[in-house]
Amino acid sequence: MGINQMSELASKVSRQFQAAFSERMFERENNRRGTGTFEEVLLSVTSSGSIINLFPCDVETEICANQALFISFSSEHSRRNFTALRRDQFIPLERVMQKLVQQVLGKCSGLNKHIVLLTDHLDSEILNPWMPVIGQMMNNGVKFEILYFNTNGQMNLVDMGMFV
Amino acid sequence: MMDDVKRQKIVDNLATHLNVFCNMSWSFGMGKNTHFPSLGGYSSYLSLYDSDFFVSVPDNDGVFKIPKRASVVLLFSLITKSEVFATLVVPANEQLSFKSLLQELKNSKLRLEKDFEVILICDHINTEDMRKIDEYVSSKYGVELKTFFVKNGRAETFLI
Repeated sequence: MGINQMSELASKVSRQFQAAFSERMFERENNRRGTGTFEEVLLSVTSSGSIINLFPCDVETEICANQALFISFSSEHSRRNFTALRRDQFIPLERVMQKLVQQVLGKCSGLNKHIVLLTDHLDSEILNPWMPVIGQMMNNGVKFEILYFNTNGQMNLVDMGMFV
Repeated sequence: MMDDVKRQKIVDNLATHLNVFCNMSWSFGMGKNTHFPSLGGYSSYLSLYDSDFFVSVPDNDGVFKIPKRASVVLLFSLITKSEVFATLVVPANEQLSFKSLLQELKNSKLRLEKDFEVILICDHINTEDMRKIDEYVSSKYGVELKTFFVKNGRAETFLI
């Protein structure tokens, strides 16, 4: 479960968010209150040459990239501290999972090959019903990683039982 | 408080033992004939296995009668039907959700005066509820909660 087991994409995402956290990029004293997006946090990841499908994202695209990043920030802690993010950037895990499955098994089926789910809240009751579907994705060659961002700004690669 | 080396040794030993126990149960379905009829029994076994004295919450064995000897407090939230602890070992009245576990912990009136560790062992995750346990343990006992997530017969550390 250590950072060493993370893919390159997951490691980059982790570093970006940890840097944002430690630099208090989203904190209250920042004047950018309520206007920020995840695209901005992930600028160096997304500008490194490769295209990544990001959700939530302001720019709608028809392109299905090899890599897709889904972000669910919804905890009270995040809402209190990441005040620079726009309100519509906070999406609960249930809705992100619906979007993820819809995209990866739908319009981007066979094209999204590496999925990273970044979340500040984990709940077995929410995730377990999706596990058979995720298992099906993985059987079809999709790499799936869950990153949990805790209140201390630590990033954990979590095995929710997908990798038996 | 305990020094870091001692603390790490306890956590490492427990992780090793949990994994051995989970693998045996998972592989051979030994739980139905388990020698640990309750989580208190399991923690008593750990006390024999390790030099440190373990108590558990929940516990039907009355180990709380001698709580001051405890050096490790195990908090169990094992409710997932498909998991080995829940289906084979843990009695129904000891299968507590995180919310119930926190209530049980508060009701236990656990008093510890010496150095000790508090370790949460669970087979499901709800980070919001787990954080409430963490906050209670931290404020009440002044120690940092360690967590092991048991899934598919494996126990791994989880940073809440």
